[in-house]
Amino acid sequence: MSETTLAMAVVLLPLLAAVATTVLRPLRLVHLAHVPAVVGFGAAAVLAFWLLLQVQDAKVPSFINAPIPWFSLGNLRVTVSIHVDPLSATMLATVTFVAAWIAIFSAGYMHGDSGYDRYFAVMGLFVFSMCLLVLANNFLLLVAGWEGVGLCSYLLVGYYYAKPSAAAAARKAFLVTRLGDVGFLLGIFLLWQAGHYEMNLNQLFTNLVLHPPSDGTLTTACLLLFCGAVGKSAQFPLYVWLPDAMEGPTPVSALIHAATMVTAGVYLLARCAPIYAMSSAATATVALIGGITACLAAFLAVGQTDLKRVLAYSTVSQLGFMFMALGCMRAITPGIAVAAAIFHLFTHAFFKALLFLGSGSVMHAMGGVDIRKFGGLRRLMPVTHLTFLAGAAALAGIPPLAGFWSKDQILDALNEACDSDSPNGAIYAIVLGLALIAAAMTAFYTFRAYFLTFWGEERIPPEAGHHAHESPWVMLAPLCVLAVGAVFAGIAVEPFGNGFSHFLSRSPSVELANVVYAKQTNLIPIEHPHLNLTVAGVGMGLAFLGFGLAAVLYRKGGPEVVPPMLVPVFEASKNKLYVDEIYNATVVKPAEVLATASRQVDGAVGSLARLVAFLPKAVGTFLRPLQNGLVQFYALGMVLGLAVFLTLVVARFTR
Amino acid sequence: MIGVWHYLAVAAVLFGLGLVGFLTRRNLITMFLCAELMLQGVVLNLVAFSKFHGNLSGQVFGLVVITVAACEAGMAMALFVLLYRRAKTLDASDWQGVREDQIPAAPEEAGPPMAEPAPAYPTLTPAGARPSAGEEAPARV
Amino acid sequence: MDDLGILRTLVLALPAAPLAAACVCAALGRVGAGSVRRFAVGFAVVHLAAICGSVLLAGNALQNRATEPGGFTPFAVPGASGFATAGTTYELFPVTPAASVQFYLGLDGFNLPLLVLAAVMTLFAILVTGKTITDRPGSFFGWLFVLEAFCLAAFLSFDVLLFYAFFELTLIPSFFLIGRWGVGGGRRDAARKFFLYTLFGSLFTLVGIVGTVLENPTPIGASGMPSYEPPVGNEVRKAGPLTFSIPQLMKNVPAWEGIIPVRVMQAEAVASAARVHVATALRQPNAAAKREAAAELASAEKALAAARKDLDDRHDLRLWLFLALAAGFLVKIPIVPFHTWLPAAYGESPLGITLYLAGALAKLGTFGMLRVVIPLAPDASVLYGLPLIGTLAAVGIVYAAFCAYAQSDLKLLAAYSSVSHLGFLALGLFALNTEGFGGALLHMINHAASTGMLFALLAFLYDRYRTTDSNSFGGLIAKYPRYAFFFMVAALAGVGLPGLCNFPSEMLMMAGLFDARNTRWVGYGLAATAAAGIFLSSWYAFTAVRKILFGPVIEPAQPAGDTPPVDTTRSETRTFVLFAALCLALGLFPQPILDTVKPEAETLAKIVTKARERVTPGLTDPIGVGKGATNR
Repeated sequence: MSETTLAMAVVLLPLLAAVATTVLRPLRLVHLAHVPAVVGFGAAAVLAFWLLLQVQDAKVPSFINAPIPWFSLGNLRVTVSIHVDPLSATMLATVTFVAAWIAIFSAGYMHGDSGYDRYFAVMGLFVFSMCLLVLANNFLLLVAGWEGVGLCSYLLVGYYYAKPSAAAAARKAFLVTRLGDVGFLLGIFLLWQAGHYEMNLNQLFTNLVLHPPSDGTLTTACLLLFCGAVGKSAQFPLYVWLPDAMEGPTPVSALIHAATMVTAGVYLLARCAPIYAMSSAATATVALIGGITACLAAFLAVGQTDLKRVLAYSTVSQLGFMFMALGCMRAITPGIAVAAAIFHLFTHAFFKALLFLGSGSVMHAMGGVDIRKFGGLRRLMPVTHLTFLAGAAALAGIPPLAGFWSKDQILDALNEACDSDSPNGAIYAIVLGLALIAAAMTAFYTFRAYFLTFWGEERIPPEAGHHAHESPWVMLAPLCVLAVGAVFAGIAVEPFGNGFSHFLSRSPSVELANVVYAKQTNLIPIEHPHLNLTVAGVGMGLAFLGFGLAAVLYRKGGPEVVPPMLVPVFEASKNKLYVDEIYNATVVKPAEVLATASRQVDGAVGSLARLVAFLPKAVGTFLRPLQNGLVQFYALGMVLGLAVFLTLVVARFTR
Repeated sequence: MIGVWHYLAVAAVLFGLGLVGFLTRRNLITMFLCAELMLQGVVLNLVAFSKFHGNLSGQVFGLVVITVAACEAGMAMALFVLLYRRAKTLDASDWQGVREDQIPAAPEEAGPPMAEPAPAYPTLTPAGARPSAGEEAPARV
Repeated sequence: MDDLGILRTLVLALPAAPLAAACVCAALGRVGAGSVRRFAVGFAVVHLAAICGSVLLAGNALQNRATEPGGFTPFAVPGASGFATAGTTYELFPVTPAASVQFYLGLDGFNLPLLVLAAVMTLFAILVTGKTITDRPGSFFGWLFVLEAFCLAAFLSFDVLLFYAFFELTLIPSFFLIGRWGVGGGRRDAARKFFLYTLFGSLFTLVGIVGTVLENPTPIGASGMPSYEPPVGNEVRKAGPLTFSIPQLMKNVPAWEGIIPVRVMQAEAVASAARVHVATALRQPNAAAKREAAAELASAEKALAAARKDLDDRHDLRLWLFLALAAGFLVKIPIVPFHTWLPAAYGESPLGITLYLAGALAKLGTFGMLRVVIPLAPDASVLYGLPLIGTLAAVGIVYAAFCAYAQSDLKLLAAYSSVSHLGFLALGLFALNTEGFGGALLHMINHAASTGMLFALLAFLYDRYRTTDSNSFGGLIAKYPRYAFFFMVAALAGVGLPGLCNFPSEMLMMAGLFDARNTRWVGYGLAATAAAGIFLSSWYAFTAVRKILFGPVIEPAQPAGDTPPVDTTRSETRTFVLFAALCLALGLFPQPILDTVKPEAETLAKIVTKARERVTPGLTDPIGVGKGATNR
């Protein structure tokens, strides 16, 4: 089987699973709805790993299928064309692997729900769209996947449709990401125009590199593309939808809002590395936005009392880390920056999915995720506790867990960027500072949540009922598998030998980015990152600092005790710095007022038309009495008119 | 010698009579007859000019007009019958329905004093089968 | 009879058949409502099948015909042989001895997809109407078929006056359908407003048509044959016979745009020669020669002034003619601020008719732009299209989206969303390139499918509750899961989700707007507005979806009818499934339509490219010098 056929199979298997799920209801087999998904995702994961191995062995790791036309007219040619390279193969494997385990977890978590089949059908559609997004070699095909995952996110966030908050969250998620997509589309078309009317990604990059457009165009296009990423990957200022999206079932949060969909923005930028490598202003902006997001979201996570929201803000923050790495693309070798970002994406997928599933397990037992209501669960739920601890430690960046290595690489990249002779060195210095603060806060809020949930006296809320026990094995197995990933995924692939970076750097787009970098800066691209012990030490120190602080404050569990002088800070964090309220007052409400005003204005415009109609009406009032319905009156009118006419004619011709 | 002017004069008289009659009479049938009178005045003109110019165009026109007038008569009479059936009157001023909204109807003017109704003379039975008892024949005009 | 012969017959039969069906409906009305409905559905299906058949048959001929550069190439023209482009022998009435209005119908790439559209929408309108019309159903379906017939005939027309006539004739059946069978209290007012407003606009179009025809007779060269190239040297071009044929006018208009400036140059050459003569004559003692030379100069100067005035006049006139031509279609599309008839008409019509108005009739406006305005005023379209109409359309996109958001009646929401989408369509048209034209034509069909589906879905609510006010509904997923699914599909199609219908056409139009030859910032600004329009459409659509589908169940207390309302019935499911399948098919496989449209779109794009060169000489594509820039 050729590589692209294999990739096609990976894409289509989840779709097939989704379609198969839809026929279960007529067959009265709803309780088996998880089977197609688990089988489909599992098979896709196996194939994806096989594909990964093949790509690794290939001499030239780039495979493009014979494009299937979708639509084309004039210069716009859109084809279903997929591209397998180390970057997309890695993403594909990550996505399908995590999806398969989450599907297994969902089989336990969603058991007995009335929309069981609906859930798995949309999940299938989601994995399909995500794979399409990852493999697309045509910008508009990528958009198709991009919008597809957005739709599935919408449907799954609004899964509990009768709940008004879920409905609101679903709409918010959809709209905020769509807002980013406005820029995304414009950016795509700007690049299309600048790149000789080409939609095929690889070809487009080549065109742009060979005939670079003006700096302004390029920077604008990059920033517009980044708008899409900001929306999808929940970056400042469009991050507000992600915490609300926690209204969906927890496995959904794990898959879509932690491991896969939200990383689409990161993947997009990594895929478009060649063009970002050309624009220093755009990359610096990316880094700055990433830094602000990472720091802000970490701060907001500190005060949250809802376990899932802590994790949601943590996701936003970690995505910020990835964008920081991507933002170094022009300052340091792009291959290194991309590798750092994708490496973090890879490890993050494991430990964040694990944390979400762990919180799902807690939620399953406790009937809610408000950490004020329960505590001391480590004896009640030992497996959940241990796996959660693994995830938390990985997230906090405790060596030698996965998160440590990937975060270290990002800090390393930022450090390099500060030292580079990039004109934006000062910005990178600020970003590095933000990253360090965020790293410390990450460890703190992670362990705050961990201690409050699992340590101290055992407290079980009344709504837990008879569920207050360890989850069934169908849910624990995925936890264990992901925990293994969270612990070993980092150390296994990168630090010794830089296998991951090497592998990724062989992607054609990354290589092209390296070439661009070399051409523009006259520097030789660096082969692989080298461990900077100072940075690693500082990172480790900050992680332990956060952990220590959390341990001191919350080790005893119980109700949260906040140091009195920090109460306002915690309050601000808990209330999300009132960002939602500010947005509501400055964007949503004015828009609604504008809408109402437009409606009123429309009435006025309508009456303008009536004004035009008034003129004939006014004339009509004078002429109307002539229509009195008497035949003889009309006849008289005709006779008189004829008389006048004849008089004129006679006068004219006898003069 | 009767010249073209004589014909034209007669035609004009016919037309004038028709016109005055059309404008002043309220009985639909009379009005129609007046309209026919005007038409015939015009046809007379056409024929006169035909003779005067020595070609047949006018006569052809005349024939066409007569044909049209015949059709018109048929149509008009049919319509009058329908109107009469609806309101049992042939007074044109009773049919003002096509006037604009909000325009008041023209006031009913007293017509000339009605002639005394004719006394009910005995009538002959119609030929044919004897009408069955109790069944009143519908009013025919 | 060969394919073309059959098609020629079909071109006449296709618009005539609904007229006949209308008569049958009127007659069947006395028999009973059921038989009328059955007949209407049956006829609509058969007619649709016939149209699909003829389109398939025509597809071959479409690709095989020799397209003439510089004008549309209609084929299967009744009353002409072969691939005739010069018109037909079916003459309606002569205007001048050499020019007459012709009964000039034919097929080309632009109208083939729209014929299918008109027939599909008729079928859907009938299906959606179903049993709801109890008052004289015979007349109702009769008028609907009359409307379809005129619609089809307008799509088929290649004579500019004939097109105008059919365009106007559609008003009559619409007037009765809205005014007689409307659902609201203001239906008569709405019908009158619709009729008068659109008539008022299209009277300007008539003026524009007459002006364009008079201004652009066939240019005749020295040999006495038509000659469209600008004259070289001392050549002259005389005004030949007038013509009403659109393909012919498309050749004449650019020709005159080229000839008149050349006349000025010729007059200048003559004048400068005369000046030389005067100069030489002054040096000679011959007084007669001096006088002669002076007279020559005077007449040359006079001729030059006349030629210059001619040119100025034409430049002035071309703006006015363009505006006049566009006026009727601007109202019909409608472009804000000429849209105020639309909410009333859509809101008051029975939903089947609203579906038809939005699905097929509104497309006459955009089709008119494509068939008449841009081909007959290419220079003015380049100069004023995007800055003027484009700006209006862009304002309309945003403004109508805001209006849509503020509506609580879903019918009005759909109406305003239609205005917003059609603004996007107008932007695509005035991008004036292959992508724009093709995308716009595809969007006509896509918009019909998505908006039509929305109106069909509203009919579901109206049938059950006699209201479409979004405030009285909530949580319908729980009560009507199947219905909610279809509603979601319609909403997603409306916001341009990839895989459903609006996506390909919106992308094509965006691509059109990013043509580097359009004034850059105007183009970018409008493209940004269009993209914002896509966002705003999801804003109002998903707010409405959240309101009526999500949350706890809310429904009006008093359902209409005696039986409790149920989820989609079999016939409703059939309609919705058809619509959803249409949306999906158009989203996944739009290429056959684009292939059909392509030759005409390219022809028109070439005409416009020539106009661009005339209007701004030396303009080249600043970027598209690479391999991608061919094919424009």
